[in-house]
Amino acid sequence: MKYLYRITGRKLFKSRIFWMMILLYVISITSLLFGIEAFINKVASNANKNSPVPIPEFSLYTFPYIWQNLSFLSGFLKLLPALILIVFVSAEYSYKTMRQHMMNGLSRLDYFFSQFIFLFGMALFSTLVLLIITLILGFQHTETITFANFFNNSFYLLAYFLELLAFFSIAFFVTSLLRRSGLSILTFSLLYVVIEPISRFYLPEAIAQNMPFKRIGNLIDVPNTSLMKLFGVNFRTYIDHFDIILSLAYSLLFLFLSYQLIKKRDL
Amino acid sequence: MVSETILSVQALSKNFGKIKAVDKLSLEIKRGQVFGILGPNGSGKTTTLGIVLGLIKPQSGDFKWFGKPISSTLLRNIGSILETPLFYPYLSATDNLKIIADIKQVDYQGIDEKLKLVGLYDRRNHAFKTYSLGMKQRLAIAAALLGNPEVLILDEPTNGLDPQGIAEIRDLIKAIALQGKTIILASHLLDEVQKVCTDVAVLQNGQCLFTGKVETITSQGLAVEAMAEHDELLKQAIESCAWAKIIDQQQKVFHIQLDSGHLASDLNRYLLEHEVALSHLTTIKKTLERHFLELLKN
Repeated sequence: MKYLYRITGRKLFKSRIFWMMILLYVISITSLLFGIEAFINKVASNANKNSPVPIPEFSLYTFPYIWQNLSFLSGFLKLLPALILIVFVSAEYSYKTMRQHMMNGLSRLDYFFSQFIFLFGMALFSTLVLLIITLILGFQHTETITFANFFNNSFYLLAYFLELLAFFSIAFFVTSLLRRSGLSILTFSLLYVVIEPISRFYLPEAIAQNMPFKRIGNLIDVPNTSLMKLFGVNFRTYIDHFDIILSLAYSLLFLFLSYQLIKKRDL
Repeated sequence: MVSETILSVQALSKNFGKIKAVDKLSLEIKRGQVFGILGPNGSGKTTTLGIVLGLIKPQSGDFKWFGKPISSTLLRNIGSILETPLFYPYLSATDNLKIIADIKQVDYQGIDEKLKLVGLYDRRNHAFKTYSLGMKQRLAIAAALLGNPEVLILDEPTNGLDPQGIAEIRDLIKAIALQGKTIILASHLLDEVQKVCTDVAVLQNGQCLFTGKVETITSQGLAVEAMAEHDELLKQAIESCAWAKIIDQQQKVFHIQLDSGHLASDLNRYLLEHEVALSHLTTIKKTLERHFLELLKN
């Protein structure tokens, strides 16, 4: 197994494109999470001028609420690391290096594992980025930090990790199926942004509610900020076990299907 | 001496839609052979190699390496190049070979040695995409040699190379063959197979038309070109001869095939005995190319 880490590491870390894409992703998520509070407060203060009830200034960055706030917001950018995954998985087909690896004695299962290491690593890395930003912003904006309010809600980090894992598994499956980079990116993005949301509209509720992107997105609900309370809406402040189970099931299903494609197809 | 069978292929078939890429193909490759698989483009060479390397699943038939079904462990002992050299374009030669060494589970020690062997040591830290076609092909050979496999599979190894590059690669293959390695070489170039191989299988439309020693083909009998004043008499004389046969006639020029052991002088003597005087007699060395074309004609 150790050699699979070495192969995966060498082909990714020595690629300039890989680092450029990672950099773009880190810049995007950092600017989103660092800038969002000021942005919302500016919108709120503008709205305040014409509002009969005063809209309070609020902070997204205090422990323990920051865990849910930032992991929810980061979910909007999960397409970026998924695209990095698609680009490098499909490259194995376009360079035909996958074929050469099999000839050299890499079993199809080991090949699948090497790609899974990449997938898992991307999810881990993205979660780590979120953790670091959360710690920086949280410590800057929370006046009194207790053990309880620091760790309370930190499970949202795990939920975010699961959200990415499931999301990337679908991306991996689409790429294993279509093999071409451009086609996979387009198909996956359309499935996520257009096709599934629209089909949910036409399908019966029972099916629509359980479709993959819907369930994965459901893991972390919209945070109940003071702004939301003002509008009288109340979202979940916990994570539904059913969401966890279904997201895990979807991850396993799409990983299994990807492996079947790798195993069965001629190269 | 009974030599060990390296690869045995039995009645292998593979269709792509309606096209029969490989059609009930059987082959036997023994240790130490330089086995040429010869055939025009699209005759099923690469598909056959893809099947025996486990990349393509055959519809029917079977094959065994060293008497065993294919496995990753077996494949690590086979160095192969199929069609074009396949590497990560942005990685250097050394990094690409390190990945292959990891897959073959051999240490990195052999990498520099192989790069020196194919003359790429000075460019080892440059990205693969900056290489010329010849360099890419040589890197592919270095990769195939990594871990000193017992068997080498080379598919069109001199494709796209300049004459000097072709000569280099051929010398390299011969040198490797001298080390006692078994080499399977697919090519559409007759000349290449004749110069490098000990054994040959000729493929067309996925079927094996012929297998045998290259030596026996090239020395198998003799062909002569003969002319006489009275061609009718010549024709009659040859038809009555047990060891000579007319294979072709172009106006007054006869192409005559002699069974092995008979020379042009034997024919001359025989014809004089039958009172036919020749005005022209030349020996044509039978090349693989002639044989190949004859096979394809039938």
